[in-house]
Amino acid sequence: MSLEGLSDEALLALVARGDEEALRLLFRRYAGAFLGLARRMGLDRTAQEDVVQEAFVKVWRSAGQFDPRRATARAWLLAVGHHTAVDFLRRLEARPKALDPGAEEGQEAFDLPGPGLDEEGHLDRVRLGQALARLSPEEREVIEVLFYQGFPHQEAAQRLGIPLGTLKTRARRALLRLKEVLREA
Amino acid sequence: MRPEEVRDLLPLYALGALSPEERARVEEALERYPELWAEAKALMEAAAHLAEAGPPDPVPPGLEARVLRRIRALKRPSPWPWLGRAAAALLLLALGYGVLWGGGWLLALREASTQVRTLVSPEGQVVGRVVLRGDRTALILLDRSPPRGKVFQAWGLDRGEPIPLPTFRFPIKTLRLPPEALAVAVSLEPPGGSPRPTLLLGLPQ
Repeated sequence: MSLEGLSDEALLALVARGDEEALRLLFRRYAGAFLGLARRMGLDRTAQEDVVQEAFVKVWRSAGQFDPRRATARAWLLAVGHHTAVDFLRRLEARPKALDPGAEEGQEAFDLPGPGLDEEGHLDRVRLGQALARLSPEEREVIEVLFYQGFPHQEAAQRLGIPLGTLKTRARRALLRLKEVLREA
Repeated sequence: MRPEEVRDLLPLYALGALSPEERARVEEALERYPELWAEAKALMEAAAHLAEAGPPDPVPPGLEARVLRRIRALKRPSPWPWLGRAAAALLLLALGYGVLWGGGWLLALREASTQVRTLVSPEGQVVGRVVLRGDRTALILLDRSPPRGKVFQAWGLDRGEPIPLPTFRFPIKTLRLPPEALAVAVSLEPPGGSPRPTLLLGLPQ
């Protein structure tokens, strides 16, 4: 039976039972996204490929822990990819150029790269770009430092010169705002 | 970790801003607080959009094969080289026991007091059989294993509420019915079983 038409959730359930073909299909669906994210986070080509390998080993080992009540399969898989890239970044201490949130290039750093191969994905990225533009500069800065630069929260608060509580509040507000704006779009 | 502490960390968890140890603690705590799942899901969903902010990169040739090679290397190596002799001895013992045990049930089929009932799912699909002996011992044979995170549970049926009987994980189970039970049904339950059936799997036809 071909697994091509199965949802990510169904493929993850098969991976949890040791199905290699299901993992291969998830690799084909997400490896490009993991590579793009690792590049965006400042990792070099070799490290990007290492992130992909490591992330899929984690998917293989921990697919049984995926709980659809707590996350969609897509969000869970992308979180595995992101956490892996963050761990690499912290180990290598290689980070992309820090943003100057007040400057023009700060805005530019959130401008999204050109269209990929898929039109739908491109539209999603345009919508995300618009949603990010509606965050306050402080909220965007928190997203940049935590998510893309991979700084742990204490270090991020220190770098931004804000109390940890403020960082947490801005992070929560930014995510909820993104979700809200993307739902409206 | 208290629920408010977990809730406080959820945005940082979603943004990957925790250490691996903190991350594991949040995940462990989340299992205990279902009231936080909806919020965790919403924050994770928003963070997933950030992860796909750029277009996917082309996957270099050979990367898929490298990943699959690593996965295959993780599969458990066969224990046979050193366990072979012990396993063979255990297998022989098990076969001997199985012949005696199975033979007992086979002989019971000759008795007029033994009943064989088919178990049928609510959708009308045959899912197994129950052999019920005159001494009220029952052998349940199912055609499947329970899904991940679930166990089978047997139920004694009389004219009132179903009577909860033992849970089991393998598709074969023997048990003794309470005197008031006239037949056996099987359901799928969380580990440990339930006082009432959650998801009926097989009812006697």
